[in-house]
This record gives sequence, structure tokens and C-alpha cells, in this order.
Amino acid sequence: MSRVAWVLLAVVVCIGLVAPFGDWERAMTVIPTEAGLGPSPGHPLGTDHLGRDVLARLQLATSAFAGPGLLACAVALVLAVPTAAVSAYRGGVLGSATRFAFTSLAAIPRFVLVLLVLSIYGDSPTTLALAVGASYVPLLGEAVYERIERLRGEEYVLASQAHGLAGGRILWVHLVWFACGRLIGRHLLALFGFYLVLETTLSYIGGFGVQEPHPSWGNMLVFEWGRRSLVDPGLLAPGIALWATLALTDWASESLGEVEHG
Amino acid sequence: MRRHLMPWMLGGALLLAGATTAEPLRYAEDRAPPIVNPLFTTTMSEARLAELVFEGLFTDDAKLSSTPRLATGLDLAEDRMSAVVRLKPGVTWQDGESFTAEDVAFTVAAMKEESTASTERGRVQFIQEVEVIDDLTVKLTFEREEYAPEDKLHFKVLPAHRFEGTAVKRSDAFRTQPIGTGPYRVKRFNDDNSITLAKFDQYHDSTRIDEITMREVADKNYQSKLLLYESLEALVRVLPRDLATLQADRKVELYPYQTNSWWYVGFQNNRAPFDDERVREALTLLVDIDALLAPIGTGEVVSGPFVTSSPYYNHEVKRPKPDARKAAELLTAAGFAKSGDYWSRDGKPLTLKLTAQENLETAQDVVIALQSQLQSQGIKVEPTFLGTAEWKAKVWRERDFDAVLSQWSFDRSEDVTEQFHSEGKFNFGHYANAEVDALLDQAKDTSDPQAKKALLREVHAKVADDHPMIFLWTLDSYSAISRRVRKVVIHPFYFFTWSREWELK
Amino acid sequence: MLRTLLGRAVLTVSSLVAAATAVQLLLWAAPGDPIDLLPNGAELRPQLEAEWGLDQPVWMRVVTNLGRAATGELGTSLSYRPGTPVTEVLAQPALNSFALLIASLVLALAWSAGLAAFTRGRRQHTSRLVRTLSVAPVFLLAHLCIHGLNEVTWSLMEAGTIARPAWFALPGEASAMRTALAVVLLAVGSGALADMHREAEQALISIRRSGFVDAARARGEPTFLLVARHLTLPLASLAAARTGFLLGGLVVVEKVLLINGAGAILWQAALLRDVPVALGITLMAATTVCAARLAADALRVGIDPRLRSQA
Repeated sequence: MSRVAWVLLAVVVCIGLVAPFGDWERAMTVIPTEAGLGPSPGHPLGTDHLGRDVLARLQLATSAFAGPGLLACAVALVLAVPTAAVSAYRGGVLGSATRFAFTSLAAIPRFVLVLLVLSIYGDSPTTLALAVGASYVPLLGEAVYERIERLRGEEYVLASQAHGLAGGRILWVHLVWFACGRLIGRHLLALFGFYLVLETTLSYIGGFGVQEPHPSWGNMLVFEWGRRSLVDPGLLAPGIALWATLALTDWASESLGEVEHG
Repeated sequence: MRRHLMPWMLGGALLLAGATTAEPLRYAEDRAPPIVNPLFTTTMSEARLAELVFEGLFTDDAKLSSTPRLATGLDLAEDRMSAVVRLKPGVTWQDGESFTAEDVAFTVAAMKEESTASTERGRVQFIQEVEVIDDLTVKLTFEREEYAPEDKLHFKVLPAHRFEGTAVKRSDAFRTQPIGTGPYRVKRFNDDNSITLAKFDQYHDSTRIDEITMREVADKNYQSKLLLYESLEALVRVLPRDLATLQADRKVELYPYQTNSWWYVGFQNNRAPFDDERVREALTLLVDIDALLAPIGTGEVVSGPFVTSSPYYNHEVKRPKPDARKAAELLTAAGFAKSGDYWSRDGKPLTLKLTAQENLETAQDVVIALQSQLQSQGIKVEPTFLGTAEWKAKVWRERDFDAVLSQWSFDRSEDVTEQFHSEGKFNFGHYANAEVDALLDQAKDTSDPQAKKALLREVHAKVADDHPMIFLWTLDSYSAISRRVRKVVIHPFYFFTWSREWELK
Repeated sequence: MLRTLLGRAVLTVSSLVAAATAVQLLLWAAPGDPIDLLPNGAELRPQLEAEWGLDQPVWMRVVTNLGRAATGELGTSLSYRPGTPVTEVLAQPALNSFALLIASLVLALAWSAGLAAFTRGRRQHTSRLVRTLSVAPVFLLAHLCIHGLNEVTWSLMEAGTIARPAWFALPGEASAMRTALAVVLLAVGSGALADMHREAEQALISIRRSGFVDAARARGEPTFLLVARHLTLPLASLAAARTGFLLGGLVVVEKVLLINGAGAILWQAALLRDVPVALGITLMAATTVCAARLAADALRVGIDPRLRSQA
């Protein structure tokens, strides 16, 4: 099940990554004579009220979250993991200070923080990605810190140290890669899902997020709402696509589960 | 246990939901007026609410000419430099005090007061002095000759006794405890941001509807749904996309009205390549305005800075028709050449960074269609939508833009000086033409209606010739009101001016 | 014990200072300010800048506001409700939001504990179903629920099947139906229920496997109360950890369901650049998160005798 989910998720992300380089005339060109059409062989999901192909827009909309979502993951990974790992392994004042900073920052709700960042630095996907990635740092950092702090005193770590194994090797290979790999993977997958939720939410409510004429599953939902019946495929499609993609991230994360010790 | 939780919760919800009592007339605004004080009107939602609570010395009659309201009449001096206004006796404020000439003097003084910084100051600048002759008579002295001062005496009068002095702050307690002489008093500011207005019992005239409620419905799409669901009785402005649905509904009546507003795409006239008139004209010729207008509603395309029904509209100026060949010639003359998909100069494609305000309804559709049109003609368009604060900072204050899609709305004076005079406050695109400046100055100084008409028609022709903007259209506007409301006549600008006649069945 | 408490207090204060500083730095850096929003803003700028302290450097404004906030003084609103004290602007909406938050937290805890007791790590299909339902974003669920409910109810009303329900489509004061819907959606959507269920389930399994439960079982005693008592702690930590997350969802749910709460106001305040109001809301949110953490800690100390003996 989770393998299928990984494959499907990879397909969605790939579409999103290559989409910006494609030719999306069907998704972008306004054709008044083809406005509001129902499903047909030419337009499997119909057209929107400006005559743009809904299926093409649905595909193009993946670019609104695929690349930026990965960027957000990279930001969180780079900022959180090394800081948390080193400070947890060393312990002492550095450890306490890092932990303290993570906990303090975690008190501001992530959504609120992102909203404020967007109102200033504009709502480009890069800004959103950086903001979301940064806002996730306390959460990921705390998780990694906790795990490494717990394992630091384990016998196999102490034994490795006694055998003269380099501290860096113990930390990065044994503790971070082997012991935290799955944990980090789960968090990054959750972060990707969070980015998707946030991007579509902001685009849906408007004011921030992806703006027309660029499609997002969020703004597609609101752009057509009220113009067609609630069960129209053209109106439901973005919602279903969003729900399905989030379900895929959830199923995929099953393969990263671990048996909890202690 | 778990299985029963949900029905239990919903059951509780149903019990808690109270039943509604007496039927008010409910209308929707996107955002509730933050304050109710006519000295500081910043949005149309405030102006509409003020129309119910406050009154002016004069107001509009159904033909939009001035008719007395708090006044009974006006005697203009022979030299036209002053007038004596007689006030209506027996008028009381909503707190029981009597309305007197002191209130008129106070209002003018408060509006003129520098430190009050009233948004309405411009309305009373023509008054030099107010002299209280007796309780019901004031004498107004003007700065210059006035031909029809009653047309300028529509500003809302405030109760002097509710203020400490003429220096009034926006934060004055009056903002949430407004007292007027109008047909409705503010009964309550509710927790859900709605405002309940109740009929003022000692009102000096008659009014028929007992209660009016202003509801805040931030989602514009939802507003028309609520009207269809009979959860609202009035919608001030219908989105063109909803017209067909509302028209088909037998419980709703649509009321068309004319506004003094027109849409445009304004260029930054001092920024390359838009500093070249040929480029601006070419862009104008590449746009199919009718095709832009069609999806967003009906209206009349304008060729210059006035609405077609205006006395100042110059009907001899023809609106430009799309002409790709002439546009190509102009662009070539301006040094552009078509390479690949786009017109380019010095290796850079001709790009129009088009900025629009996010909450200008239907602007989104226009921008998308405009982008589509111009792209197919070899012009790159990069649209940006800005929130109000950012829009005001970027476009109004910093004037940092290539092109904007926006609209101008005017009161009946249709004074375009601030928009097109080289020193105008709202001339964000840095349009400058000495002849136009001179004509506008003359028009401002003349009181003779015929001379003014001729001058402004010339302004129309000259401005149209310079192409500082692509003039688009004046849009037909509609209000939608439940058929349970009878005898409805709406004012095109203030909406509620004639609501005293309305009846709710 | 004293050290722990002191540590907690310092952490709470630093969290609040961090939140307050971040919000201000962010909003002051935004393009456009409340003066731009006034029609005669250009003319009023010098006067209002002095009045609102905008003529001072940003660090000075941040410090001044922090100092004032420390004394409980949040200033007055600049553009959302000009001139009204922030505390007055926020009192009722914050109460509404707080009620929503508590209700959804309680509901989510009850549901996740109940579900965990049902699935106990075995009923994979049920777990997966819950998770698949729960991953849907709050805005999507809210959109579908409110509009679906309206459309269905309206068509039933049109057909004469039912009379107009009191809660239907914004009838008057805040509708309890919308509030109930908001509570349910917050408790379920954006993965809230799935995450809490997973954690509750793990806690439950580890408690049931522990020695003292085995011992009780061997003695033939009922284990239900024992397990429930030991589940309290993990659930409390869980609730504390989810508070911040739910606060984010609150903004969305209030916007989509048109509920007048602090979240919806924050959105407006950010758009209108009303720094005092945004600051007030962020401080309240951060305080709520810190209070939830403190409460969970207090509960832990209260229940776990080992922690008390350490003190």
C-alpha cells in the first residue's frame, strides 16, 4: 500500500516539478466562447468560466506546491537537524540553549507566523516555502534533539566511544542516519503535507497565496464556486485532488513507521 | 458512547440556536464600518450607514437635484458671495436635544479644523464663514461666487453638544455612539460585527421600516447566495456573474443604477517604454475592450475621462478600435521589432507589469483576459494583485508601477483635476500636459456652467489624444432587493437616501 | 521542583517576548501602513506618525510596545477599529475563539481516546479510514460542509419538506450550528484527529503492556480505571502539544465559516497593518500555548509521585 502511495506521490511531484517548463496554453488562454463547458472528450473535466481547461489547470497547479514544498523540506532539514544533532550530542549549555530556543519559538502558532511573514515579503512561492520551512524548524529540531539526547547514553554509543570511533561518525552515521532517519523522513513528509495544506488554504481564502491567473487547487475551488452546482466535476476536482494527495502523503509515511522502544 | 457523541453535539447546537424575532431589513457589506462618524468617512460602507443615521441641510431628490432636508430654504445674496439658510423647526437629535443653527456652525468648523483632519474637509472649503443669526437661521459667507450653493450643502450635520470642541479625533467616543437627526439610530454594535439600526421615534419626517441590520459578509460570493436563501433583503452591488441567477429568481428584483465611475488601465507616463506616446497608443490599439467587458457585465465604453451620460463627455472623440496593423507601425516607429513571440527592443521583450487591487471586484477576470489578449499580440503581461495597504503604499504613495487596472468614482461635480493636472493629488501616472493644466484651472475658476462644459470637453479631447491611460468603460450597476421590500428607489451613490419610502412586507 | 518551575517561568516569558518581537518586526517591515489606508493619508502623515509613534525607529517601537505589553497595556487599534483599546476590540472575539479551541481540544481528545480504545493497534482498516478522513484540510471540509449543508437544506425547504431551521444561513446572532461545525472540523481536519489518535493509541498500547497492568490483571482486578488514570498524562501532553496547531486551524475555520473570532481579526489586522491588534492576538495565542504547557506540567507533577519526590 505504502509503496503504491510513494509511486503515486512521486508522479504528482514530478508533474509539479516539470510543469513550469511545459506549454500550458490550454490552462492559461481565455476563450470566451468555451466558457463553463461540462466534461467532454476534448475537456475531460470541462472548462472554467473563462474557457480554460480544468484538467490542464489541475495539472499545472501541482507546480504551486511540488517545488516549493521540497524547498520547505530542505530548509527545515538544513536548519534543524545539524543544530539539534550537534547540540543534543554535546549537551551542556549549548544543548540547553538550543532546546530553549526551539521551545520558545514553538509557542507562536506556525500558521500565524507564516501569515505575518507573507503579509510583508509578498506571497511568492519561494517566500512561502522559506517561511514554512523555517517555521517547522522548532518542531523537527525538538524531535531530533529529544531522540539523540535519549540515545546519547545508550550502551552501543558508549561502547563506540570507548573503541575510539570518531565522534562525528557516531553522531552522523549512527545517531542521525540510522537512529533518526525514519523520524526525520516522517517529519519531512508531514511538512510537505503541511505546505500543501497551507498553500491551498491561503489561495482559497485569498489575500495571500497563489493568485489568478496562476492555478492552485485552493484558488480553483473558490474561483468557480457559486458558478456551478456543488457536485460539478469541474468544481469538485481540485478538492478531490487535494484530498487524495494528502492521503498519499499519509499512506507513504506508514512505511517510515518504527517500533517504539521504551 | 463515542457513537452517540456527534448527534448529541448537533442536538445541542439546534437547541442553542435561538429563533429570530421582529423582521428587520438586512443588507450586507464586505466589511463592517470600523467607525460611524461622518467627519471621517473612509469607505462606502460608512457613507451608506451615515445616510441612515445623519442628514444634511440639503439632499438629493429622485431627479438628483437638491431639495431641503434639515433646511427649509436658502436665500442667495445678489453678489452670490453669501447665503442665508433657514432651518427646519422641530427637529430633534436622537438623544432628545433640539437641532439648532449652532450645530451647523459647529459641523463646518470641525470639518475645516486642521487638527481634526476630516476626510470631508474639501466639501466645506468653499465656506469662508458661518454666522449664527438665530436658532434656526445661519448665514454662510463664501470664498468666491456661488451659483448653486445648495448642491454643496449635502454634508452631514453633527450635534455640537456631543463634542468638547471643534478639534475632533477619529478615536472620539462618538464613533461608537453616533447621534444624528436621521430616520434611524444605532441601536447596537453586535458581537458578530453586525450593526442594528432602529427607527428613530421622534424623527421629523416619516419612515416605514422598523429596523435595519447591516451584516458583515466578507465573502462576496456568499452574499448573493444569502439573498437567494432569504437570509438578506438587500445587496448593494451585484457581481455581474450573479446577475443571471438573481434575475431568474422570482423573489428578487434587480435595480439598475448609473454611477459616475469609469475603469482604466493607467500607464506610468514617465517610465520607459511607457514614456513614449506611440507605445501607449499601440497598446491601446491592441486591446479589444468589448471582449474584455463582455465576461464581466454590461456597460458603455468611454473614450475619455467622463462617463457617457456626463455633460462634459465629448462625443466627437471616437473610441479607438482595435487595429493591430497600426499598432505594429507605432511599435516599429518606437524602435521595437517582433522577434519570436514578442515585440522587443534592445533584446528585451515589451513587458507590461500590470498591477490591480485585489478587492476590486471582477478586476481579476479583466486582468486575466487582458493578459491573454496582449500575449497573443506579442506583449508580455505580468499581473500582480495587491492588498489595500500595499496598493495604497505602492501606487498612491510611492507611485511605483508600470501600469494599473483600476477605476475612478466621482461625485456629481465630476472634477478630474486631481487625476489629470500635472500637480494633481491622484495623478499617479505623472501625466503632464500644460494645455490640459490650463484648461482644468480655467474650468475650476469658472462658475458659468456652459463655459465649464466647453472647457472640460476640450480636456476630454486632449487627454484622449495623449493616451495616458487606456480608457475602458463605465459599468452598469445593479442592486438586488427582495420583492418583500416595496416602493424601492435607490440612490446611485449613497443607496439609502430615499429609503424612508421603502416598505417591508 | 523549584528549579523546574523557575525554568518553566523563564521559558514562558521568553516565548512571549520572542512572539511579540517577531510579530512586530514582521509587521513594521511590511509595505504600507495604516496611514496609507486613509483617504487623506498623505496630508495626515506627519500628524499621525507622531501620534502613533511611527516616526521612531523600528527597534524603539518594538521596545516601547514590549514594555507596554509587559504592563498589560496593549494600546489602541489603528485601523481595524480606530481608537478602540485593543483589549476592548479583542475581549469578545477572543472569548469566542477560546471557547472553540477548548471545545475542539476536548472533543478531539475524547474521540481519539475512544477510537484508540476501539482500535488498540489492531483494526488497521478503521485506523486508515480515520486518517484518510482526517488528512483533509480544515478549509476544504468547512467549504464542503457549510455549502453542502446550505444547498441540501435549501432544496428541502423549497420542496416544502422542512420548515426553515433557525440556524439556516446566517439568520441572526452567531449561530450555534456554525459553532458546532467549527468545533467538529477543528477536531478532525488537517490531520488533527489522525495524529492524536495515533499518539493516544501508542500510549494506550504501552500502558496495557506494562507490568502494573499485568499484575492487576493477574489479581483479577478490573484494569479499566487503572489504564484510564495512566492515560491522563500522555493525553494532557498531547493536548498541550496540539494547542498551537489548533490555533492555526482556528484562523482558517473562522474565516471560512464567518465566525467573529480572534483568528479572523488577525487576518484583517495583518491586511490592514494594525500592529497593536495583531500583536495582542499573537500574544494571546502564545500565552495560550504556554499556559497549556504549564497545565500539562502541573498535571504531571500532580499525578506522578516520582516527580514530586524529586522536588
